[in-house]
Amino acid sequence: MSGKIRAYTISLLGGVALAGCAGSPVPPPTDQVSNASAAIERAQQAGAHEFAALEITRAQRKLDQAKAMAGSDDEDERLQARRLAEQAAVEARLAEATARLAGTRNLHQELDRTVDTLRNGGTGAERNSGSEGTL
Amino acid sequence: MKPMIATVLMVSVIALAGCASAPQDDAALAEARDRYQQLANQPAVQSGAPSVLLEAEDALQAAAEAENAGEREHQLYLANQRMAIAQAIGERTRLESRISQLSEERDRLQLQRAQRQTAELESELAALETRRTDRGLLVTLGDVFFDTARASVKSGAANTLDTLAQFMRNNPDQQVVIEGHTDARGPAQYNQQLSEQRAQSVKQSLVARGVESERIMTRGYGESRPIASNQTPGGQQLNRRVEIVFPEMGG
Repeated sequence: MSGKIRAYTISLLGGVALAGCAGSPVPPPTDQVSNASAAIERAQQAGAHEFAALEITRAQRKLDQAKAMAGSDDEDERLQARRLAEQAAVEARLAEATARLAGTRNLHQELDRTVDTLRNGGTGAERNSGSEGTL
Repeated sequence: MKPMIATVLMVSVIALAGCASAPQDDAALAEARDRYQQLANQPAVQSGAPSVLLEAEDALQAAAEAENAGEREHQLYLANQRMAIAQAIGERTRLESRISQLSEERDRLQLQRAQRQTAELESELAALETRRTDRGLLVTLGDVFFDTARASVKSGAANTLDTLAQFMRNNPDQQVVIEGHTDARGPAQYNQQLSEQRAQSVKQSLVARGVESERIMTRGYGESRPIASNQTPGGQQLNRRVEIVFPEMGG
């Protein structure tokens, strides 16, 4: 009979191992979805549609997919939804950072030109040559 | 009994193996770690994006400890995207410090330029017949610039008017008052009118050279303010003049 007990013990261990693998039950990724939505909004405000179209589109698509699977009865789909929402959020933050970088780059270029013009003896402002109206 | 135990054992082992560690993709993880090291060594990234760096580190850690391929891939993705964010923020931090240097440089150059222009113009103005008075800097256009009894400015005044107009254009806040004066020959009322017309005529010449008309005031004083005797031709000639006053300068 000791063999039977051992069999039970082993099968119990196997069960525990399997359960530990699957992890605790996956809740619907509500926080992750709202995080991603907020990040997308911030990115849009930073001009992502103009300066980081690829990133913001990818973020939006992943968020849509996450929303579609978030309420699924299937554990795997909810896990997948959570990952997609997390990826959407990080993608949106990248879109925001890219957009802000583009804005700063433009400012830098403009200033660089202004300083260059000034060094070469120009006005550094919009060139209004005095050709008009000077008799 | 024995085969059953063997089966259960095997299932457990397979379960544990599947759980423990996903098929090793060390290359991708090592690559991400290298990238992380390079990023973390950049001062602009350290100072501009410390929290994103930490988040990337967390994801790298999570990827290393992931229990299956899906989770590992997910964490690696997060780690790489966070590093891209940190890189963008670092680049922006670098540009911003460059921008503040450039702004200072621009301000310095603009100031230098303005000072040089002012100095140039003041020396040009000084070459004209100027006097510093308590009303401001005064430039006199003598009667040689007007035909007798005519208001229009003669072409000989062009260089003087060019200089004055240039000075006004370069000093947009500078106002100017143009005052016409005559000698005492002829009726006072006629002289009054002629002095007003001459002042007006000088104003038109400046406006034609690009000076805003709102910045130019004109007055006619006729024969009321002589600066020399009206009894001699020389005195009369001095009295026939247009005075251009720049208030707030040299007061």
